[in-house]
Amino acid sequence: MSTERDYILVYINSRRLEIRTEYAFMNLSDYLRYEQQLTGTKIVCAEGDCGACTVLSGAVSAGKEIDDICYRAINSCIAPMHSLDCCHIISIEGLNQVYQDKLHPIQTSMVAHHGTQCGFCTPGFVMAIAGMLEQQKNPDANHARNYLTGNLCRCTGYQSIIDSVVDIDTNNYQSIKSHYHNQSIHDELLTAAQIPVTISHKNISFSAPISAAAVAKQLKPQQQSRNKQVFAAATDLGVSLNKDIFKPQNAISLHLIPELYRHDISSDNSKIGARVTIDQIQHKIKAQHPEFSEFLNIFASPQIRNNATLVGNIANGSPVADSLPFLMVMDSIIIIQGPKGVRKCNINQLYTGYKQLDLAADEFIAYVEIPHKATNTKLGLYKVSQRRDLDISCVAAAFKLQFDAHNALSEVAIALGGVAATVLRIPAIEQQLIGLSMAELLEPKSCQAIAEQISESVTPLFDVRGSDKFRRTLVANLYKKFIFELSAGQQHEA
Amino acid sequence: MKHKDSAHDSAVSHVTGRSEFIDDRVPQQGELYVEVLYSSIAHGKIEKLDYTEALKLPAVVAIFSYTDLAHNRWGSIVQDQPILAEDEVNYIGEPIAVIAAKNQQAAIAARNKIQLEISRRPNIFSLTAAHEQKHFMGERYEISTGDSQQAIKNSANTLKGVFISGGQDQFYLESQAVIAYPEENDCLMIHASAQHPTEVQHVVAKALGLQQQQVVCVVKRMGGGFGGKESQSAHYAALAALVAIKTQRAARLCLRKDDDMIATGKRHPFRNDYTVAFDDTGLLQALEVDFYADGGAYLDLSPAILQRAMFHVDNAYYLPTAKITGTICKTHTHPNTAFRGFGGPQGAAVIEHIMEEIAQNLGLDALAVRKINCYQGEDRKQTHYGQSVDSDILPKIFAQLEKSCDYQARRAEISADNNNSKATVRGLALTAVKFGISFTTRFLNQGNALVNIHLDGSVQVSTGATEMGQGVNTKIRKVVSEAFGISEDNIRLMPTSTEKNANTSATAASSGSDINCAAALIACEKITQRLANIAAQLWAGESFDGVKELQLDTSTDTSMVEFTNGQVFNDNKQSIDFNKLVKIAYLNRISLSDYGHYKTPEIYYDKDKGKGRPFLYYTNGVAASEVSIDKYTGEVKILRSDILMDLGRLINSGIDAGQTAGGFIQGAGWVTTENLYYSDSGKLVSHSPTTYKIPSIQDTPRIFKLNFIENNNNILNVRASKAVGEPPLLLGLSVWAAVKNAIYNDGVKTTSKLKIPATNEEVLRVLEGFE
Ligand SMILES: Cc1cc2nc3c(=O)[nH]c(=O)nc-3n(C[C@H](O)[C@H](O)[C@H](O)COP(=O)(O)OP(=O)(O)OC[C@H]3O[C@@H](n4cnc5c(N)ncnc54)[C@H](O)[C@@H]3O)c2cc1C
Ligand code: FES
Ligand code: FES
Repeated sequence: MSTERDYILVYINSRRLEIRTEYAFMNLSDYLRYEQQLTGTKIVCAEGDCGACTVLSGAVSAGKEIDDICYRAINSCIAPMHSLDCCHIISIEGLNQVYQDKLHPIQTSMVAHHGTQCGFCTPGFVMAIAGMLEQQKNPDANHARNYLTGNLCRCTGYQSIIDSVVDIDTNNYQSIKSHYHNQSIHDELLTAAQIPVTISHKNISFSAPISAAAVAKQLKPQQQSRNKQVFAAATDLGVSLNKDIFKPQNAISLHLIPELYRHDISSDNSKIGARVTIDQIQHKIKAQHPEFSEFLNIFASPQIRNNATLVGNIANGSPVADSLPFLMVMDSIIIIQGPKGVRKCNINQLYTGYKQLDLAADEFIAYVEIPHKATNTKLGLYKVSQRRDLDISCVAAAFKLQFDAHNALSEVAIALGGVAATVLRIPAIEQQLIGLSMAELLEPKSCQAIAEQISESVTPLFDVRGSDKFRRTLVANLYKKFIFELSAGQQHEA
Repeated sequence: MKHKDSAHDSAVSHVTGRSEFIDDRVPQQGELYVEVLYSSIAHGKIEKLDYTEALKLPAVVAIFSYTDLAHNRWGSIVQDQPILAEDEVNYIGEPIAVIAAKNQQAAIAARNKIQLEISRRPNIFSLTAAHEQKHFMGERYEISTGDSQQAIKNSANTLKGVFISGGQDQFYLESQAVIAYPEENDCLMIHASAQHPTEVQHVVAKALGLQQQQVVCVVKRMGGGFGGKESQSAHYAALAALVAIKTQRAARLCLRKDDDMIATGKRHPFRNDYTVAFDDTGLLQALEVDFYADGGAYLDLSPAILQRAMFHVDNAYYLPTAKITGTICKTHTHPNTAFRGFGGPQGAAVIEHIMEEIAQNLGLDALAVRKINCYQGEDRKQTHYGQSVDSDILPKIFAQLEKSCDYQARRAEISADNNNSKATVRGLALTAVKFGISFTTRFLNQGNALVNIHLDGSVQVSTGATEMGQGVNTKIRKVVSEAFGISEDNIRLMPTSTEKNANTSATAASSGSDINCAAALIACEKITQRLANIAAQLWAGESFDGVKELQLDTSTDTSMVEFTNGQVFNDNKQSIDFNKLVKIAYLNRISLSDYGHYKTPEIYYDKDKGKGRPFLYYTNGVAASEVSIDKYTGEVKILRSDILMDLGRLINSGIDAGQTAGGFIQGAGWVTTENLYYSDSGKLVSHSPTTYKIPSIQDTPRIFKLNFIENNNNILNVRASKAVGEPPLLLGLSVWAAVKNAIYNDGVKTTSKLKIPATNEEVLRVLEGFE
């Protein structure tokens, strides 16, 4: 077995490809269209926001059995080829091959229901629906809506697409995975997943070590933190590369490190590795944190959730990163790997400024630990965006109230996103609430007073997502909404 | 809904990803990648443009500026816009130079190396500023009827206000895209994603100093157009053509979404200053509106769009007296342009706003106000521009939808429910559309078609209509299949090309199917007449033996000849296979091809008098929408929409349903989430789907019911059908009116400030009264 690869290994529609040199740094969508002449995949926005470029990806990593593999929809426009090492990619042309000269049941249904007009969004929809069928064999209208928020169509008004999904002849449907993912391909990708990769081309490089310690070793302390970049699924990275084409990249990928795919639930917390996707967390954390699991429904789109990681969201450190208010009110612990081992940091101490983290140049985030909720804790998670789905927050908020045995508040945490350079906690107001009873909390006058204080405690920006006044009104109103829901819940229980 | 009519003629290639769009075309040897250097300053003087350094980059082939053009002005109505800026720039995104390189990286590197210095000049961005400073362009229009001033004086109630509707990006998924191929003798073949191939041909020829015969423009399809590719595609085609002619290499110019959104025109924002007078029942006495449309930096199609807004200010309602004026503001933004509805939605929005205002002021249900005002009866059927609304369709569809959507019961239920303390408040509104069909410029209402039957009996049809998803080709195919009595599978609609169909109009004004189906039908009839003539002779005993040649005989009676099911029949039960007849006709040297030219009858308009009959007919519809608003966040949810359309006799119900649903949702997007946000320096910040939010699949009504009335009376139009493209967009206003109603239902004193779009922020602003 060789000790290092200078290529990434991908399959595209069952064709084996070793991708070297500059090709490893292209986007998958460009690679498909301009290197493989597979022009069925369309590019509209090149930033993950329209789904026209949707393809399926079956990702293999060390220790995975065939049964663990799922072919999932991703945005090819923001996926650098190197981020697809050990994946099998299926484009619309690959889907066509499954039924040879005939149409796939999804396609038949879309034709019959006028699910396509201009056709530019259509291959992306077909692939996203194919991805849904890999998980959801008998989709109804709600599934159609939930699985297709990552795909925009300007022509149809969607109704005909929903009708198409509902009417798919699922009996005749052959899964993409069963058609494309055989043992020999699986084994080959699995073998490759155990061999580290280094690819350089001119001033850019990519490497994928096979252990966390090796990653830390590659990150040299004297180097500027942004010069070498550890990344996960590259959904953020891909956008910034597209919109700023000449940015040099020296990327270090975590995808060959098996333990970072773990999500372990112990008696007091969930420990989530840097390669665990939002979608996986959404399912697995349901029992401990149903509110967060539900909240993740409006995190980006299925294509992004299928790929993006929670740790990537933390590391990106945006003040509108949707997971942060929750992680902060839960006092989540960030486990940081450095050359000398690991250290822990409360997420509330992690951010030092706009997208600035207390992370040394030779450190990276390996895990996040999310404590379970104490009994008698109320959690409210909110996001307000211009459009409900696939949109970045204008304001996000998390409220956590913990009551003691006498039903008085013993712990309060409020975190607000979108109102400052980082996600904010407001300790002064949190402290003030401690000791209040439920009844005092629900009392309209005090609710109003606290809402106003919250509003006055922030000085947000006026930007494309909303004015400062709007944001200030929103933080107050979200508190009121939380209290309103609490009171409705109380009445319900009573 | 499964439809009995055929699928879109490209449906199979669409769903398999095999449909070819511009950027899917296989590059030619030596093909160049074209990038545009555009202004990042909204208004200024170009002090320096030096690309000597940029030209030294290895893969850069050429860079051109306005001095390389033979003629540097274009414009659909008035030629006031430079193709490449000369010494002045007037909007961010205005093209200054074109770069041709072997690849994208090189082109972008070159663009960054060009030395460009622009000194800033004072600028005007907002409609308010342009209005205050009287920064206008083009003509001012007026349409009036009766003495509105007197009516206002005499009236029991008047309301005065300023109502604002915002712009909207077309957001076609395929951005502007064109490839220009050089051909011998300085000729050019242009493949473009464009709604108006003839204009592309003409603008390119003029810019490069060529004759029109030297330029052919082909449009196979567009990945969406919605008006955004009516005029402005020609601009980008000229840039690609410049590269192709100068370098003698194919030149590909496909805009990235961000650049497309920053640089190209959108739906016009409108400021509307109005005074309305009405009696105590809400019956209109007078309406005065001064429209101010934000034209952007150049005129583009603004005059025609403004006029259509003025024609549609009545929407479905009778105006006893009116004085409507229209002025175009010149601002330092992208020249605004066509977008589905073409000013119609902006005009109708004003009166739908007014209907809600009257109802709120009088404490009436807005539907009652709409119903008494809607065109009806003999005395109340003339529009402010003098055309009669010659049917009682509107009251009928109002009544039908009111019943079928259970309006009154739901209204009662909503009122009761809104009294409870809840986190949400609901609103309901039923609005209408009466959309005038025809280009308001008469000469545009013509089209032509070429029909060729081949010897196996299969048919190719070419028309000036361009296919952008709306299904015009599918409709033409159906009409041709009925004319020849053959299966739609044997008919192919060819890419639109100025070589086959010259001097055509843009596929716009919803009239693509009307005009082009009619032209195709004329061509078909010429051919079927000849075929029938030959068939009749055969049935009369003329034999075809290969020696004697059959001639067309004008004395032959062909009135009873029918073409159906692949057969040609007469009333004597005599028949012949269509294919066989075709073959015989050919062997007798009878032409199997023909050309049809159609002009829309009966239309005229005198713009100085503001009177005429600008439209052949009206497409009508009504929609009822129910929304809920989150009182804390201003978020809007569409709970249910019911739509009822009058589309005459449908040609293809699946296509018509698709146009209706799609147009409605686009309209709903315009009035809710689609917010164009500009920086202080006049740059569009919401220039990609990250920040510009068109409706997603979750934003469609939870319950969505769509129906058509039966109406076979529109005999003025082809097959008694009616155009569908634009009208349903105006029904999106029902969503906006429902939002306005919901805010009112929450006990807010006045909702008169609510703008379009009613974003969360806008809703919360009106709910909470913050400025
Ligand atoms: C279309 C679209 C929609 C989106 N919608 C949302 C949304 O609704 N809500 C939201 O919060 N976010 C959203 N995002 C942002 C993004 O998807 C998330 O931030 C995502 O969680 C990032 O995960 P990733 O694995 O792709 O990160 P990557 O792109 O791989 O990395 C993100 C950043 O973190 C760094 N990084 C990654 N892993 C580590 C590590 N282990 N240690 C140190 N640094 C690391 C990288 O260097 C990079 O700077 C959206 C993005 C897109 C493209
Ligand atoms: S092109 Fe829009 S999501 Fe990829
Ligand atoms: S069919 Fe045109 S964008 Fe969906």
